[in-house]
Amino acid sequence: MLTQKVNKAGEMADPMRGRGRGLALLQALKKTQMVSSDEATSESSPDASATPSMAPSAIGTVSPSLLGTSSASVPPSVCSSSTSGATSIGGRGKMAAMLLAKAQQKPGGPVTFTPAGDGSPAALPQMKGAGRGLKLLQSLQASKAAGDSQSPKPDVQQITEKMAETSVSATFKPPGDEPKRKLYREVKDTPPVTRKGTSGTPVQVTANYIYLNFEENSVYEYEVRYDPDQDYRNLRFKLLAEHRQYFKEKTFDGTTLYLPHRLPEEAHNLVSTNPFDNSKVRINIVFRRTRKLSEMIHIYNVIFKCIMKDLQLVRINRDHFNDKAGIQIPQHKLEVWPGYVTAVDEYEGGLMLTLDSTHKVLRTQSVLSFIKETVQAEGAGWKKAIAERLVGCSVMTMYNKKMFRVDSIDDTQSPKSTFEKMVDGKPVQISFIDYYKNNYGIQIKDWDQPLLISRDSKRMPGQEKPTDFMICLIPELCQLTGLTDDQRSNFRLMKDVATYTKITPNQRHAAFKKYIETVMSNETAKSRLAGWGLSIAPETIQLTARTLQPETLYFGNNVKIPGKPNADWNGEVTRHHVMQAMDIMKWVILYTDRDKQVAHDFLETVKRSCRPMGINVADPQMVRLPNDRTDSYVINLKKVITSNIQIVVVICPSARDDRYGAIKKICCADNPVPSQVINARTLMNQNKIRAITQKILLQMNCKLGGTLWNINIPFKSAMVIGIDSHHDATRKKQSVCAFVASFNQSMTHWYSRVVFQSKGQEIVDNLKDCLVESLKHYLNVNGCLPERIIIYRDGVGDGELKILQQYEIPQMKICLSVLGGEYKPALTYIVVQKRINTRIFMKAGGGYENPNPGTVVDHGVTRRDWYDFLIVSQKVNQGTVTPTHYVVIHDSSDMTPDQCQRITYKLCHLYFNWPGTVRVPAPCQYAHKLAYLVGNSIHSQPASSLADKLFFL
Amino acid sequence: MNDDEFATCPYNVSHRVPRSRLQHHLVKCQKSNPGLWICPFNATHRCPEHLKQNHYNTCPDRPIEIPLPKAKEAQNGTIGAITKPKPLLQKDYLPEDDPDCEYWD
Repeated sequence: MLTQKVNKAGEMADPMRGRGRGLALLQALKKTQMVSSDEATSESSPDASATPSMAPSAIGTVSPSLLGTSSASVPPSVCSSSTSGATSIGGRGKMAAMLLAKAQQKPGGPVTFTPAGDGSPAALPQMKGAGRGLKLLQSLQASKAAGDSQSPKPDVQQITEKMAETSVSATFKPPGDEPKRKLYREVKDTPPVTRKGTSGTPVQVTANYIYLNFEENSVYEYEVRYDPDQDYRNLRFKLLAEHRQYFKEKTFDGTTLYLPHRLPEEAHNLVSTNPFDNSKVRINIVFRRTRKLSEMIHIYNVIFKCIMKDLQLVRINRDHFNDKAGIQIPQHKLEVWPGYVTAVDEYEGGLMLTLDSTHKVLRTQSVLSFIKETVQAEGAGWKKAIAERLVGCSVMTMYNKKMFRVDSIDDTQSPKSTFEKMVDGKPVQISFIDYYKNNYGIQIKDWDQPLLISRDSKRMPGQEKPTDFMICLIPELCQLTGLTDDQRSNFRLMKDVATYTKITPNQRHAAFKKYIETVMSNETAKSRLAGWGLSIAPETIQLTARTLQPETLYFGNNVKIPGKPNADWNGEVTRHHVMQAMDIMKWVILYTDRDKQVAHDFLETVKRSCRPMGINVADPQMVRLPNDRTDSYVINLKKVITSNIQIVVVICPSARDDRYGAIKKICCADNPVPSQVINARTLMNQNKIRAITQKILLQMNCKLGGTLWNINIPFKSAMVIGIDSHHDATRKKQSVCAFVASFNQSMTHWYSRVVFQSKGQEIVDNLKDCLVESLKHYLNVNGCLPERIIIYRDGVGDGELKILQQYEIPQMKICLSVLGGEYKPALTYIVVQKRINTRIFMKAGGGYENPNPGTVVDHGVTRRDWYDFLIVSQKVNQGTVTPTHYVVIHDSSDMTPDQCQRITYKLCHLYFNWPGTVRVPAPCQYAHKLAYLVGNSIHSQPASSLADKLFFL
Repeated sequence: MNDDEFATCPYNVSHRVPRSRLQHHLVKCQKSNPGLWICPFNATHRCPEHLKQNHYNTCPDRPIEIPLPKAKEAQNGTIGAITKPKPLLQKDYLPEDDPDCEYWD
C-alpha cells in the first residue's frame, strides 16, 4: 500500500521495495542495533546479547505512529534541517522510529538515525540479477540453442519445453566489454505459440482487449545523479521536476530516466534549488543507451497508470475508481464506485490493452457513527461487540482514500492524545486534532472517540524477523468498505447491489467504449500517448470463437437426453432414474425437538420423491435430540453410528460453523460414515421443500457411491486428476491441498486425498504420494494402470506457472518411474485459472450477449508464449460471464488442441452437485469442495475408507 | 507473508529463504547444484544419496504406517456400513456401435 502511495506521488513504478514509514523504522532499528553492538565490542563487554533481543522489543515499543503522514506530507524542515547525524526520515514510521530510538537510547551512547533513503542505497540495486540468476539464464539459453539445433520437428512436448525456456524478460550478457550491464529483452524473438482447435460452430465475438498501435520509437535511457546526493525519493522527483521544460514526457524511478526524445546538451547539467532549505543541488544527467519502445512493455503499463490519473480516477490497490460517479444506494447506506482495471501485455495477436470494468462497494456510514450505533444497541457490552464487528474489516480514510485493516480498537486514546512529531528538527508533542487541522484542514468534531489501530509489519532486508508498527486511525474520518456477513445474507440488499455491480455484457461493453472515448478526448491523456508515439484502437478486438457441440447425457433405464445449448438439465435430473442408484436401507435422521415437523415433512417428501429417481429408501431410525447444543449432537452421533448404518442425516435448526464442523469431524474422520447435514430453515418453505429434498436425495446417492448421469468419455484408459488448495482466510492454520482422481472409465467415481502444508503455500510438496496412492487404487479397481493422465490444477497465478512446471511436474515424473520402468503414461498438465480479467461477448443483434456454454477462444487474446485457451463453460443468468483460462504447461500425449479443449468441456458436465455445466472441470470443483470442507470444518485427514466416494459434497 | 519462518536451502546452507519461497528457491538452486535425492513425502526435503535411507525412515512427513487401516479405525470407534462403489462401464449405457460413441485413442 505504501509502495503504491509513493509510486503515485512520483508517477512512477519503482522496483525497489521498502520506503516510507516501514523502511524508516526498520533502518532506524538496524542502526540502533549496529550502534549497540558497536558499543558492546568497543567496550569489550559481553553485552552483545542485547542485539538479538532488539527486534522483539521493537514490537512492543512502537508507539502511535500517525495516519496520513505520507512521505509527501512530511514538513520540509524535517528533511532539510537535519544535520549529518540527525534524523531525516520520510514516511509514517518516522514517529515510531524516533520513539523507538528514544527508548533504546543509552546515556552517553549516541543514537544515529539513517535517512529514509527514498532514493536508492547505491549498492543494493546493482546486485539485482547478477550471479546465480544470470548464470541460470545463460545455461538455459545454451540448452535452448542446443535443443533447437537438434530437433526441428516441434511437437507438443517441445513447445511446452520451449515455453519453459523463453522467459518473460530474458536477461543475457552482451558479448561485449561491459560485463556488468545487462540488456532486458521484454519482446521475444520466438514466434508466438499458436495451438488451435477445429470443431464446433463459429461465432463472432469480441473481448475486452484493445489493440495498441505504436510507432517504433527509440527510448532514451539516462541516469540521474545528484550532488550532493539526495536520499529522499520525493525530493529527487521534485528537484528534477523544476526543469520540466526539458522533459515533456518522462518515466523516472528516482535514478533511471526514460525519455521519448534525446535530451538537449544544455540539460545534461542542471542546478535545482532544494525547496526545503534553498540550497543548490546539481543534477547530472548521463546518457546510458537507446532502446526500442517495443522492448519495454512495463513503460506502457506506467503510461496507462498515469492516464488513469489524468482521468482523475482514484487509485485503490491496483484498480482505479471514479469517486465522482459513485452510485448511492441510500436504503442500505451503501455507495458503489465504478472503476477500471487495465493491463498492457503482448498476446498472440500483438500488443494489447486489457480493460475491465469493476466496482467497489463502500458503506456511506463513518466508523464513528457505526460505533455509536453499536454502543446504543449493545449497552454495556459495546466494547466486545465493536471489536467483534470491526476487527478484520477494511476501512478507507476519507481524506486520502487509503485502505487500512482494523486490528484493534484502542479506547485509552482519543483525538486529544498526542504523539511526537518532528518540527524544525525538534520533537514536538502534537495532538491528533491539531495534526488534522494543520495538515488536512479537517476539524475533528468528536474529541472523545476511541482510535482504531492498524498493524502492519515489514521484514527488513537481512533480518529474518519482521518488525511491527502501528497506525492510529480516527473513526470519524474512516469509512467502512465491503459488506458484512449480515449484509451478505440480506437478500434484498444483495439484489440491489447486484443491479449495479453485475452489469450486462451490453453495459460492460458500453463502459469500455466510454473509456476509449474519454482517453481520446482528454487532452492530457492524448498528448501523453502521442508523446510516446502510442495510440489506442477505437474498438475492442474482433474474434471468431467456436461453440462446441452440446453434450448428450445418459441417465438410468437407458434414457438419453440430447444436449441443449444452455447446458442445463435441472428438469431432467429429478424426472429420470439416476444412472446408478444406491438403495438406502439402514439410515438415521437426527433432529431437535423444535424441528420435529420439519423432519417429518422431509421424510414424507423423500418417500414420495425417491421412486421417480429409481432409489429405494427404507424407513430410517429417527433420533430426537433434547436440545441443539453441539455436544448433544456429538454424543448422539457417536451412539447411532453402528457398523450397519449407511448414512446419517442431521437436521440442524440453524447454520453454525462450529456445530457443522463437529458433526463433519465425527462423520468424516473419527467414525467414518457418509453424512448429510441439512439446515432446517431450507426445508420450512412448503413451496420449495420438494425441490430441495430431491436435490438432497441426489446428493446422498453420490455420497453413498452412486452415479447420477454419464456422458461419453472418448478415452478407454485415462485418469483425470483435479488439484486445488484452500488457504485459511486468517492465515493462521495450515493450507489444505486436495487431490481428486478418477478411477473408472466414465469418470464418475473419484478417489480423493488431502495434504496439509505450511500456511499460504500453493505449490504442493507431497504430490508423489497422492499420485502413487491414486494409481494404486486405479490398479486395484481396473486391473491395469491408466494409459494417460490428465491433471487439472487450480489456483495458480501467472507468476507461478513456470515454478509449477519445474517443481510439480518433475515430482510427478519421478513418481511414475517408481511404479515400474515399463510404465510411461502420457501426462498432460493443465492449469485452470478462473479469476481472470478477460471477458468474451457474443455479438447478437445490435448488441452483445454472453456466449453460450462451450464457447472456446484459442487465439488472439491468448498468451503469446503458452499453449492455452479460454472456455466459457457455465451459463450465468445475471451479469457478464467470466471465461475460464486453461494453460497446458506440459503435454507428452498425442492429444490435439481440439481434443484437449473438448475433453475439458466434457469434464465440466460431471459435477454432480449441479445439474448443468460448471465453470471448471469437475475434478477441480470436487477438489475445491474437499479442500474447503477439510480446511474449514474437519481440520484433519479424512478417513481412508471414504476416499473412493464423494463424501465431501 | 510476514509471519512465515525461514528455512535453510538444502543445496547451500548459506541460503536462508522464507519458507513460502523455498520451493521457488529450490527450482533455481537445483540447477546449479549437484543432484540431491528428493524425498517422496515432501519435495522440499533433499539430501545426498548416502543419507537417503536415514531420511526415509525419519521424515516427519512420512505417513504413519498403518498395517490394517480398518483395524486402526475400529480402535477409534465404529464405522458405518461403507460399501465400495460398483464399477460402471461406458458400454453399459453407450454401446460402442452407437453413433454418439466416440473414441480418440
